[in-house]
Amino acid sequence: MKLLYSLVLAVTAFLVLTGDADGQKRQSGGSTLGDKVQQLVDWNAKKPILRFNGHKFKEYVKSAPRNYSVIVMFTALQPARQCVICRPASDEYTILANSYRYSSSYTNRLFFAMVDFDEGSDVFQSLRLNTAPVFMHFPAKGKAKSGDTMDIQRVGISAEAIAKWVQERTDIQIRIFRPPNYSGTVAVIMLVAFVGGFLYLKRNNLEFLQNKQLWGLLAVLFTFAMVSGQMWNHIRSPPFVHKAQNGGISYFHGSSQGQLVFETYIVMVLNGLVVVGMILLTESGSQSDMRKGKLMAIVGLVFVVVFFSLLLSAFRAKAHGYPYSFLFK
Amino acid sequence: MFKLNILAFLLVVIISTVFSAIDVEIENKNIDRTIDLTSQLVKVSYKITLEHKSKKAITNYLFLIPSVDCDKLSYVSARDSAKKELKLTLSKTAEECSYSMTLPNSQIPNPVIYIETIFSKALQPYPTEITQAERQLVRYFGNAVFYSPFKTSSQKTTIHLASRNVESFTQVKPSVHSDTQIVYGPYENIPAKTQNEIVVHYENNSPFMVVTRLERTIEVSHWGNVAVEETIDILHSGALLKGSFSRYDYQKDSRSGPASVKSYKTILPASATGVYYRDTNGNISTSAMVTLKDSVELDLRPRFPLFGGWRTHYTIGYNVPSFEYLFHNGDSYMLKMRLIDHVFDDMIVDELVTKIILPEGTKNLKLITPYSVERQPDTLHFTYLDITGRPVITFRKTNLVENHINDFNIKYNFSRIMMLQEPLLVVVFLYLFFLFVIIWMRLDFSIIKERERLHKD
Amino acid sequence: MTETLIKSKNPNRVTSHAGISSLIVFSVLLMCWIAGFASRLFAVIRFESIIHEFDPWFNYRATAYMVQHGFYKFLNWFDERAWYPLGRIVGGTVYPGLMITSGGIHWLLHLLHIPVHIRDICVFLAPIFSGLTAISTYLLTKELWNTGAGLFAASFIAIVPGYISRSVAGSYDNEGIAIFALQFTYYLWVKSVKTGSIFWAASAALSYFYMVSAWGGYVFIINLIPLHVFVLLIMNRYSHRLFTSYTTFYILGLICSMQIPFVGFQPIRTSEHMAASGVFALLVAVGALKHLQTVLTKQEFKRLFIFGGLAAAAVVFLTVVGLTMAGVIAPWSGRFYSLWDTGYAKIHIPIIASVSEHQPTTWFSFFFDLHILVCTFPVGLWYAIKKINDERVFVVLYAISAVYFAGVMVRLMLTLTPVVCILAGVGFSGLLEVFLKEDQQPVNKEETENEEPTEKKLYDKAGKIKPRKHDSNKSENKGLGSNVKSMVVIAIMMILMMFAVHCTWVTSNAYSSPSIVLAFYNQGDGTRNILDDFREAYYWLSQNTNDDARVMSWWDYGYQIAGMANRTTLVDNNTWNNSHIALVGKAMSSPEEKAYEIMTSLDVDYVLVIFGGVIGYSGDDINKFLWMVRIAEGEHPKDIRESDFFTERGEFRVDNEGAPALLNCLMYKLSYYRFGDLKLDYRGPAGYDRTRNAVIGNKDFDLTYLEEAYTSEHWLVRIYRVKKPHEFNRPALKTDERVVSASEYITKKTSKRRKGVIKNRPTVIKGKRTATKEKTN
Repeated sequence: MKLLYSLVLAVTAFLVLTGDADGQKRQSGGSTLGDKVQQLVDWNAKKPILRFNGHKFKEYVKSAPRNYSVIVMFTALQPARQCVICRPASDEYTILANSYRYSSSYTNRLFFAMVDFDEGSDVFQSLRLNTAPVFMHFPAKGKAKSGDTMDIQRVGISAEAIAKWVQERTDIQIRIFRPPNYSGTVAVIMLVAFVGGFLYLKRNNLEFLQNKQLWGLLAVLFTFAMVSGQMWNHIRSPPFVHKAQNGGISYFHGSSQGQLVFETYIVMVLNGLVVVGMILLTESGSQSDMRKGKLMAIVGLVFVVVFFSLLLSAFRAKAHGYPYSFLFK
Repeated sequence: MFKLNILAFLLVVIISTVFSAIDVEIENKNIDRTIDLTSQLVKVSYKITLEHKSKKAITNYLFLIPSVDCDKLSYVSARDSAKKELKLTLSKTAEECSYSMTLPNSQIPNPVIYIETIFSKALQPYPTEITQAERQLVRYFGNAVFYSPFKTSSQKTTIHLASRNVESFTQVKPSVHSDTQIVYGPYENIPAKTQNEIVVHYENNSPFMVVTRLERTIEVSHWGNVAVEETIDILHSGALLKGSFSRYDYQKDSRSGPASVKSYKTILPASATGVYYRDTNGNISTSAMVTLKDSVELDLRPRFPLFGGWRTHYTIGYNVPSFEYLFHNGDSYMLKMRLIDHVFDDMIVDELVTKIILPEGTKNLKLITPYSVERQPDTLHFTYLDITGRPVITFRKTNLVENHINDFNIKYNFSRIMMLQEPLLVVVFLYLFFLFVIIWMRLDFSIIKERERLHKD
Repeated sequence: MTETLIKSKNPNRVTSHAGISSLIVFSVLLMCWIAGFASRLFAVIRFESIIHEFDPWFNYRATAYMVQHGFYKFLNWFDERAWYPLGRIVGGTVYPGLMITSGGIHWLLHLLHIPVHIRDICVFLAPIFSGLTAISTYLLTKELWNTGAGLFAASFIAIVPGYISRSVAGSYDNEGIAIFALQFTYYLWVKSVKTGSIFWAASAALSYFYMVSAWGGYVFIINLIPLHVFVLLIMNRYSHRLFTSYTTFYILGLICSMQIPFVGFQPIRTSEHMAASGVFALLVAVGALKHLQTVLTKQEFKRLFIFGGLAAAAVVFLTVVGLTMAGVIAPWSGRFYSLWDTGYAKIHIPIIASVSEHQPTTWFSFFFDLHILVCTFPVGLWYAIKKINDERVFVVLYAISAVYFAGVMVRLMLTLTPVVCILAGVGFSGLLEVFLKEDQQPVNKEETENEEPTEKKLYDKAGKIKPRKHDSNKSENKGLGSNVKSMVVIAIMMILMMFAVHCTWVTSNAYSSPSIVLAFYNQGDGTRNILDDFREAYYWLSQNTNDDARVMSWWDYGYQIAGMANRTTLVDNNTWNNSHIALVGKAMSSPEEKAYEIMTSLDVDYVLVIFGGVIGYSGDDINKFLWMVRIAEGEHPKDIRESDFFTERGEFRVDNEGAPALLNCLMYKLSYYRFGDLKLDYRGPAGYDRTRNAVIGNKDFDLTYLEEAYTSEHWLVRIYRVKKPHEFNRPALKTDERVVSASEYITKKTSKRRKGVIKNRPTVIKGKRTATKEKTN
C-alpha cells in the first residue's frame, strides 16, 4: 500500500519535472490537471464536441486527476456500420453540445465528447459496449454509477431528453437552442415558384384551370387520402405490413387503435370504388343511350354494394364484437 | 330587598294557586312503573291505582314531571280504567311541569290511570367518543321513586334494558338486576314529591339517530293524485366516532361498528307508487322496496354507513291516489292525511315542517290538527300553468316521536269548473300557434319578389 | 333516416303542392328532431338524468351559480373554492354561451311557472340542440343544393355518431350547442352571399357572436369564411353581393366577438384571426380596383393594377409580419400550430401528444363515426365541384379543410361530421332522384314524394340546373327499366337501414356511459351491478366535513369534487397553473413526512385518491401516477426524479420488485393502506392488485401524518384526513428538523415558482396551457 502510494508520488513528481522540460511529452504521457483542462477548453473553443480516439479517451476521461465530468457519446457513424439511429442521435447530441457551448452556463466543469467505434474500438471493448449509440457520464470523482448510462429506450434521444439526463447527473442545466429549420419554408417557396413559372409558361391557355373534372378529382383524392388515415401514417409511421404469428403476412392491424400502411391503401381503394359506383349510378340517369345507361346502373350498383360490404367486413374484423355485416361476413 | 319580598310573595301565590287544586286526601295506592330503555327513547308507562282516604270520588288528578325532564318530554298521554283518553292541561312552574286531568265522575273506589310518557334524548352516551370497534354505552338518569304530589303507599319500577351488559346502576334497596331488566322496589309509603336520583350505565347499540329537520310537502291534485315529498336531515346522535373509519375492518366482519347504522326501514302507505330516493347528487342506488299488503316497506341504505356524529341528507317522495285521502261533498272538500309519517322505528324528529299545496282556486280553507302546531303564514306556490298560484299551508312542530303519527284534516271549497282552466289554456295556445303558422305559410312578407332576390349561378 | 321514409309515406296519395311539401318538410324535420333526441337518451334510460364525466360538472356548477346569483355576479365570479389558495377568476376564463343558454331556458320556463330543475335542463340541452342542428343543416343544404338533399342531410346529422359522441344527454359541454351555432352561422353566411343583403350578413354576424360565446372552435369559422371569400376572388367571382356580405359580417362579427371577456382582444392580436382582416383589406382593395376599372382606361388601369396591387400586397404582408415580430400579434399557439406542422406536437408538446383526443385519426374511427357517409360524401363533393357556384365553393372548402383537420386530430371529427352529412345528402338525393322518377314500385313512392316537392320548390327558384336537366331526361329515364331501378332503390335503402342500426349500436355501446357511475354485468346471469363509489365518497365529503375543508386530489377530480362534494380543491381540470399542479404532484410522489410539509404549507385537510385495485378499475391514480411524477419533475427536478420510480430495467411496477421511491411515496401508501391485509378471494394471496395484476410490494406500513377518514364501498375512492401537528407524536428531533425544513421550504417554493416561469417553458407550461384550452373549449 505504502509502496504504491510512494510510487504514484514519484511518477507525478517526474511528470511535473519533465512536463515543462519537454512539451511533446505532454500529449503522450499523462499531464497535470490544469494542462488537461486547458487543452480541453482549447479544443472546445474549436468544436463543441471533443472527438476522442482510444488514446485521448484514456488520457482525458479514464486517467486521474480529473475535476471535470465528461459526457461521452459512444457511436458508430460510419455508413458501413449501418447504425440508423446513430446519425439522428449524434445530431441531437450536437445540438445539445452547441447550446451548452454558447450558453451562459458554460464552464470547464463539464465537457461533451464522443468516441466513434472505428476510431476507438478498444474503448468499446474496455467498457464492454456492444451497442451504439450509448451516452455515458463520467463524474469528476467517484466511480460511474448505474444511472450514469442514459436509458435511451425510455427517454429517447431528443436533445431535451439528454439535457434532462445531464442535469440529473451533473446539476448543470442546459436550455436547448434548436437552429431554426428553414427546409420547410424553402420547399414551399420553391413549389410556389415552380407552379408560378409553370403558369407563366402556359399563360396563353389557362383554361385547364377551369377544368372542373381536374379540380374535382384532386379534391376527391385528397379526401380519400384523409379518410383512409394517411395522416395517421404520416405522424405515426407504422410498418407497411405485419408478420403474423403463423409466419404469414397480415395486412390488417388487429386492433382498432392501430393500422398498417398497406391496410390504408386497401381502404382508400375500396372507398374510391364505392364512390365510382355511386357516380356511375347517378350518371346512368342522364345517359342518352338506354342500354349504356342500364349497364352503368348495374355496374354502379355492383360496385357500391360489393365494395361497401367489403369495407364493412374489414371494419368488422377490427371492431371486435361488431354485430352487423352485409353480403360478406 | 323589597323586590325580593315581592318575588317571594309571587312565588308563594303561584304555588298555592297550583296546589289549591290538590286534594291532600288522594293517595297513590299502588304504582306500577316500567321504564323501557331498549331503544334511543325512554318510554315510561305508569299504572296508577288511586284511592281517596275519605272515600270521596276523585274528580281530578295531577301528574308531575320534574323540570329537568320537561324539555326532554316529547309525548304524554293518559287513559282511565276504561282505556279512555283523558284530556291533559299543562301548567309549568319553576321545579316541575304538571299535567292535571279530570277523571270521569265514576263511583268506583279505586280508579286506575294509565299514563304513558316518552322522553327523547334522555340517554347520554358515555364515553362520548368511541372507536369503530367499541360498543356504545349510555347513561340513564332517572328517579327511583315515582315523583308525585301525593303520598304513595306502594310502588315498583321495572327498567328494561337493551342488553344484559350493565356497567353500573344505583342501588336503592331493594333493587335487583336480572339479565336485561332492573327492578326497583317495591317501596312502601313514599311521601309526596320524593326524588331519589338513580343512574343506569349500560350498553345500548340500538341506532341513535335524530331527524334534525324533516320537511314534508303534500301536493294535492284534483286529477286524482297526491304527491308527497319528504326532505330529511339525519344525524347519528350516538357516541362520536373516534379516530379513523377503516373500510377493511368494516368489511372483514359484519359485527364491526356495532353502533353504526347501515340501513333502516321506512314505511310508506300501501298505495304509494312511483317512489324515489335521491339526494343532491342524484339517485341513491342502494335501497330495496318491499310491497306488503298493508304498507310499502323501504329498506333505505344511505350512501355511507352512519357512524357517531355523521349526518346525511336525502329526499324521498311518492304518489298516492287521491280518493283514499280526499273526500268531497259537492264543492266542499276534506283532505285527511298523516301530519308526519314513519321515517324509522323509534324515531326522534327535532323539527318538522309540513307544507300542504292545495289546487289553484281553493277558498275558505280550515286546518284541524290532532295536537297543537305552530301555523306559519300561508303562501302561494306556482307550478305548471298556474296564474293565481296555489295556496300553501305551512306549520311546524318540534320534538316529535312515532306516537305523533296522526292525521290532520283540511276542509276547503273548490269549484269543479276550475279544473278545466288549464287544459283550455293549452288548447287555446295550440290553436293560436297553428293559426299563426297557417297564416305565415300562406302570406309573403318580403317587399321584393323571390325571383329578384336570387342571383343567377 | 328510416323515420324520414316512413313519415313521408302518409301524404302519399295527395297531389303535391306547396302546402303538402311544407308539411312533409315539417314532419321530416320533426322526425329528425325526435329521432335525434331519442337516440341520445341511452345514458339517461340506463342510469338516470345525471351530468357526465369531468368538464360538464364544472359547466353545470357554473350554470347553477349563474342561475342562483344572476348573470353579472357570474361574470365577475371569483371562485375561491378552486385552486386554493389562489382561487380562480371564472367569469373571465370561460365561454359563457353554454351557461347563458341553459340559464336563459331555465329563466323562461320559470317565467311560465314550469319548475324544471336546472340539472335536467343541463342534461337535456345537447339532445335538444341536436334537433336545432338538424334544422340548420337542412337550411344550409337547401341553400346549397335542394330540399331533398336538405332532408337527407338533416336526417343524417340527427343520428350520426360523429356528432352524437359530443351531444348525448348528460354530456353538458360546449360542443353540444356549438355545432348548431356553427351550422347556423354558415347557413346565414351562404344566404347572405346569395342574396347580398345586409340583413342576412348582419344576422350571420350575430350568429357568429353566439358561436364565439359558446366555443373556442369559432376560429374555424373566422378562417373558413375569409378563405371562401379569398377563393371566390381568385376564381374571379367578385360581386357586390360578396363585398356587402363580407364587409358587414367581418366588422360586426369582429366587434361582437370582442365583447366576450375570454376572447377580449385576441381577434386583433393573434395570428389565428389575421387571415380574416387580411382578406378584408384585400376585398376592399379589389372593390376599389373594380371601381377604378370603370373610370380608367385600360392602359392606366393595367399599370396601376400591377404596381398598386403589388405595393398594397407587400405593405399588408410586411405590416402583419412586422407586428408579429414586434409581438403585437401573438404567434400561432401550439395547438393550432400542431394542426399545420403535424410533426410539431410529437416533438415539442408532449402534453398535446399525450391527450388522447389530439391523436391523429385512423380510417377505423372515420368509419366508426360516419359509416356509409364516409364513402359517399366524396360523391357530393364531386357534384358540388362539377356544378360549382358561389356557395358551393364554400361547401367544397368546408369539406376539404374539415377533412384535413379531422385527419390530424380525432376531436375535430366533430367539425367534419356536418359537412359530411351535407355532401352525403347531396349524393344520395341526386342518386335517388334518378331512380325514383315515374315509378310504380310502392317502395319507391315513399321517396318520390320526398323529392317531388323538391322539384316544385326548385321551379320557382331560378338558376338551378338539376330540375331542367331532369325534365329533359325524364323520357330516357324510362329506359332504365323498372326492375333495375327497384333493385338499386332497395339496395340503397338497405344500406341506409344499416347506417341507422350502426348509429344506434355505436351510440349505445361507445358513447353513452356517464363515467361517474360504473356498471358491470355479471357473466353468469346478465344482472347489472352499479358501482356508485364516486358519488358515495363525494357525498360523504359534502356531509361530514367542514364546509371550508380543503381537499387535495389529482386534478382530474377537481371539478367533480367542487360539483358534487362542494368542497375547496387545490387543482382542477382547468389546468391553468402548472406549478400548483406540480406541487400537488410533488406531494403525491414524495414520502410521507415530506408530503406532510407540503400539505401543511397548503393547509390541506383531506386527501382523496382513486384506487381501482379492488375491482380492477384501470383509470385510477396509480396508473396516472407517472404523469404526476413527470409534471412534478418539470418544476422540482431536484426533489423528484422520474427515473427513481422505475426499476433498474426501467419498469413501473408496484410489486416487491418495484422501485423503493415508488413503494414509499404518499400516493402508494394512500392507495394501498391496509390493502395488504385484504384477500379478494380465498385462493388468491392477500393484497393482490387486480388492476396491475400483482401482489403489492410494500404491505404492512402505517400512516403517521394522515388517517383514513373514509373509503368507499369498493375501495374506489379513499379519503384521508391530514392530522393536525398536535394529533400525532412525532419523534423529538423531528420538530426542529421540521422548523428548518419549513423555513427552507418557503424559500424553495418561491424559487421554484420563479423557475416554473422561466425554465422548461416550451414543454411544460405551454403543454399545460393547451391542455387547458382543450379542456375549456
